[in-house]
Amino acid sequence: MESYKAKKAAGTAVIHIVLIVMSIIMIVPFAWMILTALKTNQEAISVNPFYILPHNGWHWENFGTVWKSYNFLILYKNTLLLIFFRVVCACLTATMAGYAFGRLNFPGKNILFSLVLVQMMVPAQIFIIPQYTMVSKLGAINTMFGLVFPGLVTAFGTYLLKVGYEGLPKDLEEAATIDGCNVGQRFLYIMMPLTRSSMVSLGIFTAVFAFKDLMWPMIAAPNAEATTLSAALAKMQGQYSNDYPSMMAAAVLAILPMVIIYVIFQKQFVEGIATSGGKL
Amino acid sequence: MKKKALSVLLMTVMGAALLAGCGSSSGSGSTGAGSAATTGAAEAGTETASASDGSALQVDIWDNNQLDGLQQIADEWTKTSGVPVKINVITWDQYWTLLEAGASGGQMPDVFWMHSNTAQMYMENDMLLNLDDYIAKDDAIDLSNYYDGIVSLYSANGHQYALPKDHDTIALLYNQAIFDKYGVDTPTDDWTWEDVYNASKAITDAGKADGVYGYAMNTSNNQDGWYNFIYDYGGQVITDDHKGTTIGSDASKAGMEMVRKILTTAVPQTMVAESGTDSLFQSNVVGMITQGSWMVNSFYSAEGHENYKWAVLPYADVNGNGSCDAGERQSCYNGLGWAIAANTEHPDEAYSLISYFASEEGQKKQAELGVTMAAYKGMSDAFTSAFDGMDLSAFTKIEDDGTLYFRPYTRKTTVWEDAIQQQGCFLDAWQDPSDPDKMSTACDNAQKIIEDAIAAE
Amino acid sequence: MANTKTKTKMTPRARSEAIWGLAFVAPTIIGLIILNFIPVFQTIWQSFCKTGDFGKGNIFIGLKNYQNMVTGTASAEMWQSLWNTIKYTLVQVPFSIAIAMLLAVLLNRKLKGRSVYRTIFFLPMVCAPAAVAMVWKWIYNQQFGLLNNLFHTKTAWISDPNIAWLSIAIIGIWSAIGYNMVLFIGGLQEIPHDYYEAALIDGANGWEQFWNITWPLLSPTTFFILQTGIIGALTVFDLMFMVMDKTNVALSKTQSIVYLFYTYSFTENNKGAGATIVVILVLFIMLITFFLQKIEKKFVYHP
Repeated sequence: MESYKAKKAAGTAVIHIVLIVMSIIMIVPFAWMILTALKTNQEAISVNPFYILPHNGWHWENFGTVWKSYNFLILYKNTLLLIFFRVVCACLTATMAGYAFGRLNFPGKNILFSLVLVQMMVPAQIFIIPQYTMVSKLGAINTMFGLVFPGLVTAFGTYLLKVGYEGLPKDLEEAATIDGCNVGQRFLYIMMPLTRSSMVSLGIFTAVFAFKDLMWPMIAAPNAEATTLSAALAKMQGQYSNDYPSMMAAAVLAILPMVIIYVIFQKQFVEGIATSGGKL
Repeated sequence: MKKKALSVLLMTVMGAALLAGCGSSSGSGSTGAGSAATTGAAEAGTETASASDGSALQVDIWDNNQLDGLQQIADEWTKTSGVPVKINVITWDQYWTLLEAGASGGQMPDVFWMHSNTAQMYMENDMLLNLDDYIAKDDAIDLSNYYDGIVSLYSANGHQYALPKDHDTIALLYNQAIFDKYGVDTPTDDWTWEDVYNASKAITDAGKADGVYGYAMNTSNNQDGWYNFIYDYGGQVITDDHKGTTIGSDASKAGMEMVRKILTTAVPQTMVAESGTDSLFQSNVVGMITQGSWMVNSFYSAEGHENYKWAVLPYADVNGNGSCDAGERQSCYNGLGWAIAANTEHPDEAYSLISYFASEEGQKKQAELGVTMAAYKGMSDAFTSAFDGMDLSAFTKIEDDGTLYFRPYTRKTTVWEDAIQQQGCFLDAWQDPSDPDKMSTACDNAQKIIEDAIAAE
Repeated sequence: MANTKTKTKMTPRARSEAIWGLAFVAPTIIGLIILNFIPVFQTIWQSFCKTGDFGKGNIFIGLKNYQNMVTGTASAEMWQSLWNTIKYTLVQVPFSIAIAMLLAVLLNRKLKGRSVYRTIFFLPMVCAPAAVAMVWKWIYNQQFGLLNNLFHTKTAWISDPNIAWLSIAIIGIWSAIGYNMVLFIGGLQEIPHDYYEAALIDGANGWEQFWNITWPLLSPTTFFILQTGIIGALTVFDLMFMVMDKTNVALSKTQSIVYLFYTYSFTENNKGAGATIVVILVLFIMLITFFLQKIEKKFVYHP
């Protein structure tokens, strides 16, 4: 019994060592991002001696400089609005379509649903050139509408919500039908509130991917006033070229809001992304 | 057709939102969703409106370093015209993507920069406003006051499509402290490329332990780098008629052989590609680099700039008489142009603005603010004296002592410019400069690539 | 079948349900048609055209773009990029799965700090790849980077053509571990605990337990991650774009096929060539998906 306990303790220790080493590997890039952001450029490109920590004081003002020169307020606003509209559009269209596909009978249902499935299987790159041409013909380059455009509807979300509605018990709705509710009322008052967890998952999933997307905002909204955080970072690399503290400060500013929200709502985040992914 | 379909879609989404909004007494989530989608549509509408709003002239440029100076000059113009100017900075790659989208979709900025790489294509497709009538009526503009190469670059079929904005020259930049430390004589205005090679070798050998190199060349920057060697030795990347090349000739090969020799003593290309020659230089691990006049500001404002000195771009003593003869010292120059969208709603205001930028007064301001050297001839001193405490005469001396040649261009410059940097051409030589055959083969391949590309234009 | 039935005799209630149903799917279906289905055909059509300047005058040139990409002047670049992408996938997918599975198994027990570990590992998932790539590029920097200065090496991590693709794959692995791990933890929690208790009574050691219980019962999750991971890796763009500058000497030996697509379509404005690349990519992915479906039955354990 003694040896069993000792063995178990040793095993736990080994597990912790592995996990701690992995944690360090995951954390180091973030730490280096912050440490570089607090240096002067001369310190950052000094090799002999090489500085891990800022040497001549901690230059917090780097954040302020980048904030101003890149107008992060506008970038935050654009990114937030993009996420907001994408999430609203995705949740709205997907919950309606998901309900119809999951619970209603109507002509052409199978064919239409196969369209949804086909879209999910095709890599998104094949849509980009024509979507870009459409936005540019509409004169919507550098507008919020142009940014939101490819995310107005979602095949994946429709599928996710369909699965969610299918999982609800049948008799719920039947009781309401007897009470004389029409389809719209049944959907709105009874069924939709019950799929809230699926909606939250879809919302988080959509938000995270809208936040991370790079290629679309880069081509559809290249102007500094219209672009998102991700695309602005790409731009910065071209302009600040070798001012490393500024670039790292910008990177910190770009990921900070999402990281904070994640740390607060981490349970919802992890579950949301995992269930969205897991059901794909 | 597409517009209609799209509005149908938008209506459906909004209709659905309203439906959800009406029955909102129970589901709190649906209230938020409903009003959100409505404001979404409204928001998109206002954004489009402000983009085409006529009140401010929209100006697109790609160089962040010039923004403050140019905005200052534009504000001067606004004082008299009353029209505000909004300058947007977009990175090089995105700039052309955006401009091309605007050109195809009909929504270009009012005023923007043109470059030798693309000017031909834009002019031939009538994307730029024809300035002939405006110039004829304008007392402030006389095209003979500007560098010829820039004026002719922006003219096609006898019409002028852009006003000259600036010009640039190249000089040799060195770090006095490094030369002193290793006891190597510092560059003079009479240096040849052979002298550069010897000094670079001496520093690289002596500085091995410290990781210090004598020279760094960014092979992807042809304008301040290897183009000048080819012209010094009598070759041409693009012939004067823009229809051919002599990059595979013996003269060009002799120039590229000198490039190769220097590269064997220089910072490896892998390192240059990641950090850029300017960063390497400023971190005190490189003795010499060549830089264009548009880069001066970043060295002037750098820490340790008291050690940074400029010398006239070295020459190639091709005939071996020990002095610099005509054609042996060549500096590439390029000049941007101020262009106006052919379909702008404010052609008169836009022309008035670029006329001010290109006028003697505007050009002088641009030079004095240290933005760039002027396209207006005889103002280079105004630029060099803008940087108090740093001797920049190397940039003006070459205009008197050397030959300026315009940056090689054809109708679709980027096609061959990118292609000769790839594997199977110069990339092989950049990666392994120790092998002279690779450089020579690359020149032959480049000859073929450029000829094919011109034929396909 | 059901279709004809409803048509012949539709009760008022069924009719109302049909109208509601069609109205509810209308936004999504119309959206999919405009945003996705028409573009697919437009892209295919574009791939048969030579792009005119400024989108004017697309000229039908038949298979010439394909000829150019498969055997012509652009073929070396195209095949190299495809091979780069495959190499990247072959490293990024297996390692990100293996490491994630290990972490998931380690975390799938009562452990101090379990949720802290999970939070840390999942962190890259909520970070913009643009920012992640930026800091990794800085860490990899040959002259000033953390890696070379910490270990006193001189490796050109991202500009040596032989290893640059590997360095980017490491970023890809680092970014994907947390996401895969969370999916694995989900899969592990569905395995009934009695199985392990029974195995313990039989005297099975940890490795035997993993191999006989965890591995087969986790195989549906593993296969799902494998499939989505492969498609994700084959369409990698953000990391490549942010890390590999246009001037990088290792670019041609590293760039992915989607990077090449981006360059052709949006930098060089040769949308015909861009469309051709994307059609080739989609065909390739369809082929891979087909083979994955074939091995699905062998790989995934069906009790």
